[in-house]
Amino acid sequence: MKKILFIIILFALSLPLHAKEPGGFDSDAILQKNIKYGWDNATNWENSRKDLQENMAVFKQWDNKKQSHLTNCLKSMIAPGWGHFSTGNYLKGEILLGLQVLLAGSAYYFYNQSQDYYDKYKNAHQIDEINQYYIDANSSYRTSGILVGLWIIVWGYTVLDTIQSTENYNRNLWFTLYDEYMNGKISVTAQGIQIRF
Amino acid sequence: MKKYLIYFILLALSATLILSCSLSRNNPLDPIGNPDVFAPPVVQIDTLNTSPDLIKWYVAVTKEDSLADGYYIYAAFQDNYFGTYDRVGKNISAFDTTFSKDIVSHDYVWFKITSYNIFESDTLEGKFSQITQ
Repeated sequence: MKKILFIIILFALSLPLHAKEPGGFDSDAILQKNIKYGWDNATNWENSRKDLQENMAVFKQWDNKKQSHLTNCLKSMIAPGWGHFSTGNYLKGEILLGLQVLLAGSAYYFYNQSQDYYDKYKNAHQIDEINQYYIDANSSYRTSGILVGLWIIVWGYTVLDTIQSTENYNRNLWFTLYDEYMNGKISVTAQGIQIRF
Repeated sequence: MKKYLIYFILLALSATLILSCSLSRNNPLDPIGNPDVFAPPVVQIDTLNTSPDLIKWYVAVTKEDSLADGYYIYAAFQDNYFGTYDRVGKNISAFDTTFSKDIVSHDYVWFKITSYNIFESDTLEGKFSQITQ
């Protein structure tokens, strides 16, 4: 009887040895989970890790060199086209700058003209002159208003387009840095092809 | 996209606000801007007048308070039919509707007349009559 009791106690004590460790490493389970990333085998997983490391290396450079949307927008708000010039989009910057200078200049010209007519209107003593000068002043004033309205729209477009321009600049910067990084790894020299890992 | 749309709506609103503005009619002699002022009566040349040295005219007055306070005569040289006219002669009172050409230079060929009203020491001239010889 004692013998049987001893065997039962021994069996009971040895039970934890057969149990699976709850926090243990289960590579199959992890691989199953990672199939959704395309890591259905260890090689893919390793390649992806290599890609991530490369991207991280490029990202550090990119993060230092990328341009801020806010800064470029502020530049465009202060001086039209400045944001575009910063992103290297010179043609668009010049067109938008030219357009805004033209619109603002024309608006000022018509406003000045309207004030001249308005002064004449205020000093007129003859009914036809009063009416004619008022019509001329108001017409120039409205033209000036239309040009100011158009200038505001072009100004707004310039600021908005700076966001897109900065976006394009940052995207191109990424590809350039990535290409530079990848080309840096493989260099063709007089001594032969050098691959840097 | 929604952000851009809101931005453009704001821009369009600001543009509309600017466009809706117009200059105020603050000339004290402007009858449209100042309700206390009325336009002087329109002068019509009396074309039935047969005297070559005399200009006659009349005004169509609908209200007593729209009577003219007087008349001004403007004259121009032969080549200045559409050009500059000089105010000539003395002021003509409200009750006189004739002007003798003899009192001005014979170089003046073309004439036109306006009536005027005085509002608080400022003179408002009405529309010019048709041009006469």
